[in-house]
Amino acid sequence: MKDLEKILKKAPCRDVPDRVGRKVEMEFQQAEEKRRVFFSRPIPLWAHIGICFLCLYAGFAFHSLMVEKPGYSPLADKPEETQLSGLAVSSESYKLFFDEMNNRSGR
Amino acid sequence: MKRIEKIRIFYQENKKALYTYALSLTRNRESAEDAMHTAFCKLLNRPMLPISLRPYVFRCVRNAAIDDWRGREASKEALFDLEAPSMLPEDRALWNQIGELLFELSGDERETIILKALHEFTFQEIATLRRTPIRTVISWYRRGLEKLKNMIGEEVK
Repeated sequence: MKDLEKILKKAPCRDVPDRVGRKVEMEFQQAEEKRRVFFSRPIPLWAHIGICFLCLYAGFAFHSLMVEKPGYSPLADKPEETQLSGLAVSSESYKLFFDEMNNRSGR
Repeated sequence: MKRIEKIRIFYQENKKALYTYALSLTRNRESAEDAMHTAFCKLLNRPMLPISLRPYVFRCVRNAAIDDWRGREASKEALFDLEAPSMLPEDRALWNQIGELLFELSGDERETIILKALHEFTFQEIATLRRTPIRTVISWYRRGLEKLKNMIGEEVK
């Protein structure tokens, strides 16, 4: 089996006919031509990229002008339940405080 | 290195292998030639090169060869170069015999032997190219080589 593998490795492969070589070579030349045209356009690639960055920057600037920033409120940051419970606790503590004061004055 | 330059170098290094592979699939000269041309057109039109170039190009040649071959008549094209002036007559007879016997094998077995033994593909590369499990590829190769050996033995007897 190994001998057969060794023999097969030395197989005389057929060369590609000239006309195929010419056809493929022509394809290579056409591809090179396309590439040259791509990089020598009226507006060069670097200009395209530069314009893209400029538009991106302008977009961000415009966005920040258009979107309103909400005013800061410490209560607005807390959820509604927390605000109410806070109020309830404070009113209760006031009540206790006044009761205590009344008791003391009654004495 | 430029993409086109890379493809050109690949073509120069692998053109014989690709042509033999295409011939082993179709046994038709025109189909094999067209398959090679189609594969390189496809490769040149890609914006980026594939990561594993060799299995990709061989698969392109395979697909193109099979597509093209369906519409053509079968011919008895020799697989190996038997016209080389430096070749001895006994070598010529041997390669003619091996070339004929390879076509007695199943398509999968022949293809695997051509890729592995002639073009030094790994089993993994063949499995990638054929999109088949590696174990199947190994079994095609072993079975094909065994059959070929037996057939050569019978011919000698």
